[in-house]
Amino acid sequence: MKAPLMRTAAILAGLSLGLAAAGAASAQTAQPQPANFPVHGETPQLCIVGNPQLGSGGLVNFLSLNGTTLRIDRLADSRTLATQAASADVTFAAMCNFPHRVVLESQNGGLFRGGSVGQPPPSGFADGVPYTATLTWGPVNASFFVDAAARKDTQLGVAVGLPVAGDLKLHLAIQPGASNLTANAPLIAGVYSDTLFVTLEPQ
Amino acid sequence: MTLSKPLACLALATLLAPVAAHAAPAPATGVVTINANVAPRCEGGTLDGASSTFEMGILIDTSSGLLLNDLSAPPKTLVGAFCNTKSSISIIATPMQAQSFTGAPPVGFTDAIDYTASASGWTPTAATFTTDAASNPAALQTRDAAFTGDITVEVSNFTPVGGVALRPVADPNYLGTVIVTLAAVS
Repeated sequence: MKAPLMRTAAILAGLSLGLAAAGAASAQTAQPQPANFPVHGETPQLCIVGNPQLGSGGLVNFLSLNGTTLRIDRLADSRTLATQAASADVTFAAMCNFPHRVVLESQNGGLFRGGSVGQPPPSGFADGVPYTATLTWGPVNASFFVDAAARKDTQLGVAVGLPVAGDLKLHLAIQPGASNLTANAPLIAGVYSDTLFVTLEPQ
Repeated sequence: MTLSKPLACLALATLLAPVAAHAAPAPATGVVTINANVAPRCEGGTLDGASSTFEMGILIDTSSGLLLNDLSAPPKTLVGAFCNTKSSISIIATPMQAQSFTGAPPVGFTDAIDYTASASGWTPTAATFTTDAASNPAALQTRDAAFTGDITVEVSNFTPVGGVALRPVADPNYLGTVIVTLAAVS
């Protein structure tokens, strides 16, 4: 009689141990499962160049800036007709958020007399005036001599190896007596002009 | 069928025979103790939606290069979170860091974006973490009783690391991470 009961008890005890063992295993608190949420965004490559402003360096023989036009007061000496010195500082609020290239481009290759493209000036007269544009932009200091040797598009490109934000500065200077003929050559009458482009672009 | 009944009767007779031989048998008792535990457990729920990523898109104002001041993304929801005991919810976040840009950002630029991440719905006060804060005491919240519900995770208040005047450098992949953890508290 006892044998079957003991056997039964043993079986139940075994079951009880089994439950206890299972309980002990599940009593260990499960490790927290963190939920991860990536936060993603993009900043595209971007360059900005604002409108020109007169810099703090003052104007020498230049009139005020009108829009994007900087007018020289008196290009030629009224007595000798030789080029008079002139200088101006112009700044552009600018930004490029990646390594880039800054390009100065003279459309004419100098200050050239308009209205007579392709026609040489009378002998002894000059019809072009060289000038220098000195660029300051981030780590770059570059001098762009626009020599007026020929009426043609002329460029200077400089690599800038890092993003830059701030003022892009140009110092424009015309030397006294400068011309595309000889020093102090008289300038033929006319309207002299050039267009200087400042471009920030990918390398 | 005809053989099964006699066999059953024989088995019963065999069991009853010892009882008949002893007039007052001592009772035999078997003791069974049954124990079981329900372990403290928390489950963080199931993400509602296909992606866990907060996609912020273009981060800058393309007319100025400055960080947009109205960056936002739809919240993420963890549906059916539960804890069968007292619990805590914690949140941490890392700034969005430009992944391709190397070196120190130049003057005027930054290569990282701070923001605030929050997890609400589980505790009366949302757990929040601001990536540029010196400390984040609200990042850990506790709930005293078992609970089941949804957890809403949000990001907001994006600012350039280093100051609002700084522009983010160009980079196709600014990446940060928000981590929400639901845990049982013993």
